[in-house]
Amino acid sequence: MGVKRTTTGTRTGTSVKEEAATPKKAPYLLITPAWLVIGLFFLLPLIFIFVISFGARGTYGGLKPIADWGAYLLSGEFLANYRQSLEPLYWPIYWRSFWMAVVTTGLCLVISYPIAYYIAIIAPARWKNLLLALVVIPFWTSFLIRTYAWVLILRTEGLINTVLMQAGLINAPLDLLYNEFAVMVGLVYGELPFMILPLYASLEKLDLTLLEASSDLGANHPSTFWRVTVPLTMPGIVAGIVLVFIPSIGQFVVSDLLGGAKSMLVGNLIQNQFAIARNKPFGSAIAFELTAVVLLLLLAYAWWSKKKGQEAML
Amino acid sequence: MKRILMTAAALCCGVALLAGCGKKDRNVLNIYIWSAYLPDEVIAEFSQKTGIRVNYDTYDSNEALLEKLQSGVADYDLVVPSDYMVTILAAEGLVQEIDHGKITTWGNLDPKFLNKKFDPENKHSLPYFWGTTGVGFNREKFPNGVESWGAMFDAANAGRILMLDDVRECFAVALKYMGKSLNETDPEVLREAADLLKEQKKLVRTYNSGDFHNILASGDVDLAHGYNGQMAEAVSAAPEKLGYVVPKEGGTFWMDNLCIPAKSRNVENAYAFISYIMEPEVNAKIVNGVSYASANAAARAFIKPEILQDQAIYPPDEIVARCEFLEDVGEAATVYDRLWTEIKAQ
Repeated sequence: MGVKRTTTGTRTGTSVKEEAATPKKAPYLLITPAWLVIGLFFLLPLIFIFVISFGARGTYGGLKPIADWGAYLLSGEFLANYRQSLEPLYWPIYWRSFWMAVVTTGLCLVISYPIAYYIAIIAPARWKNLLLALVVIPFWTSFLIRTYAWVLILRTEGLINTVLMQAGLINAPLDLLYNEFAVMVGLVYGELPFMILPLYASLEKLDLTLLEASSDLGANHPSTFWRVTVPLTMPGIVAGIVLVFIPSIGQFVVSDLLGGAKSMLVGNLIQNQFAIARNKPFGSAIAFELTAVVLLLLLAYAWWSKKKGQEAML
Repeated sequence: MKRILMTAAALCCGVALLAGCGKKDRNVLNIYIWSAYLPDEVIAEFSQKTGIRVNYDTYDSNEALLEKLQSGVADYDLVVPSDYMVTILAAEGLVQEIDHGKITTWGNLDPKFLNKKFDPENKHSLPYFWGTTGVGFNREKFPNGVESWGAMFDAANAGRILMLDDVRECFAVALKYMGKSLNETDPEVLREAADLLKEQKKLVRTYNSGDFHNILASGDVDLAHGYNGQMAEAVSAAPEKLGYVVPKEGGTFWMDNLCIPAKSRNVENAYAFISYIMEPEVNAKIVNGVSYASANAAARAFIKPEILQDQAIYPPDEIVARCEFLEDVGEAATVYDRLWTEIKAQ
């Protein structure tokens, strides 16, 4: 912060006060832009959603005017949207969204760990930056376009089927598109970098002498990996899980494009309420619930890092 | 203190800039329209002729348009809602009454497309394009064509069917197949239709509203439920391979209409533009460019004969007679939504 420490005792009272005030105020001033962004783009919309979620659907979109506020609040009618969101009709949708996010996260972890390990530890130093760049470069293209590219790869007359047919390996095109497999491919593909990067950051910090010490003390490779490497890279693993799980649970574009829009996910459900059913209050209620779940997960993560005394990586 | 002054100055500049944007610029026309509905050429010629600068944004659903106009932030002078949305926009007071006298080319409209139920006497709208929702099919797999919506419920076609990812259009298929109106609001009839659609889901390869014609053309499906405009595009690119038909039970008939938003600040420019695009040659140029059927009778003389003869673009009268407009179902929309969620939640 560059605070000048005065060693002479000849300063007047006011200037000492001023000096003391500067380091206190400056950090707050510096984080103001961050707070403005969070306030404007996160908190304010969230408050809107929260307020709207207690309303009722107007026939032509918007909110139904409430005649008697007292009765509306007393009868518990203002909770109707939350009550509706818990009906059994929606359970399969929540369950599928949750389950797909879990599987995506698991697959991403299993695939990313060796990649991150290779980049951080095995690859020659001059390759590292190139390899990391390769992980990040896909972000230069819109996620929608990259997902659409998978349609072209997986479709009946797509890249994979054409190549396999031409090579004479199959006689009839494989059914690769518009099923759960295609959705998984799309989800894992899209989220992979979010797992690789935090894992890399963790692995990069790993003190290699500890691995040597482990094998000096008689541990074989698997037990060194499970008992030294994995525990030491736990912050990266947890950060990656959080970063992948949260976007996956609200994802719906992939399931629409690659899964053939056959199964609704919670993201579709919310989008439908806003765009098609013109039921903003109900859509807001589900959106708020989803946000609340995600915030709880983040709080759990923060609590975990604090308990472990580890610096949170997010 | 200096910093505060600087910030204040910067803020003032920002506000001034924003205020500048809101300044009345008399020579502008802001259009909000479906994508691929206006050839750039036509806009350029209009600007050249009148000196009016045209800005245009596109949307992909009537609901997006409603949302934009309701939010009050949009500053549009001309919008193109479909039939049922005209009713809603008029009821919500979001579009203004149209002075027919100010449209010099009003007489070019085909009376067949005027005074429809969604806007009797055309107080708020005038027809622009019209069309149908039907079935696109692969001629190699269906050499005899498709006759009935029954093909979409036939287990023999499992895994080869595409349906629009649209609750009302899908219910329209089931309801028409059942011999009912596609604007049904009786919950029991809707339940029956939902049961049909639930069974059908096992046969459906994909639901898709934006790309159905390409998916049909690429051979991923052999039967595709879809709007005639995009289907016509795919069919004309491969007429020996693909076809489009409105099944005998009838389908959706849609009309997209020109409306002037209530808050438009360039009303005169909107009238000038409407009059211009309804001139026969200009209208024909639009139709020749985007392959949708126009409600302009005088333009027919200048439209390419292959477009006029294409049944996918200009379906014969007896087919149109079997079709129905989608009307807004008001409160029943929540019934549709719940049933649709039920179908998709499985």
